Amino acid sequence: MEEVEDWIRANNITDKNEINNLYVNASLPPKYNAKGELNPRDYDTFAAIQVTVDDKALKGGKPQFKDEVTEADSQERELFEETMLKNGIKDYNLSDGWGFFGGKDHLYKGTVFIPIRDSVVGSLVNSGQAPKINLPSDANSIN
Amino acid sequence: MWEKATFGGTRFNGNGLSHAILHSSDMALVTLPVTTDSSGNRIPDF
Repeated sequence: MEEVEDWIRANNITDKNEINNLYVNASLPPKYNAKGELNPRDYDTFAAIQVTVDDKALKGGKPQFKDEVTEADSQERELFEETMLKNGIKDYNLSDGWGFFGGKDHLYKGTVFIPIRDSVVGSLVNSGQAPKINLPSDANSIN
Repeated sequence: MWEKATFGGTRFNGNGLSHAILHSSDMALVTLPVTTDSSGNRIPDF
């Protein structure tokens, strides 16, 4: 999908039928429905944010795709611990474990995807109150 | 909001926000193919 989107951007394609054809040719479901809206059955819009999280943030199990912040990244682990303590989590201790006895607390870096349909961000987008950026070409921009 | 979020295919706990550090305030809106997990939630399908 990323390659198709790169191609669409590079060639400045805006026609939704043409975009659908490109998706289908790439063995993807059409991006838009008959009304020209995002195909709600196969696609959704997400807010993507880069974060570091510990085990306690996640609901059971380890993430499938993970970039673990190991003991080799001790400064990052220390910074995380300091931030948790500053944020009021009393006695927060990110353990590196005790050899064979385990007890290691894991830390992961990655992207969080928040479905905007059910979120505050989504409500703002749908209500038209989402913050907008004034680009130089925008009639409302301050030049 | 965080209960609906996913990280590497894993959902967040209710306290997810208190155990996460944002690298920056940058947020991107991305359209992705979706699948449904065992709880019936629509999650990104990579």
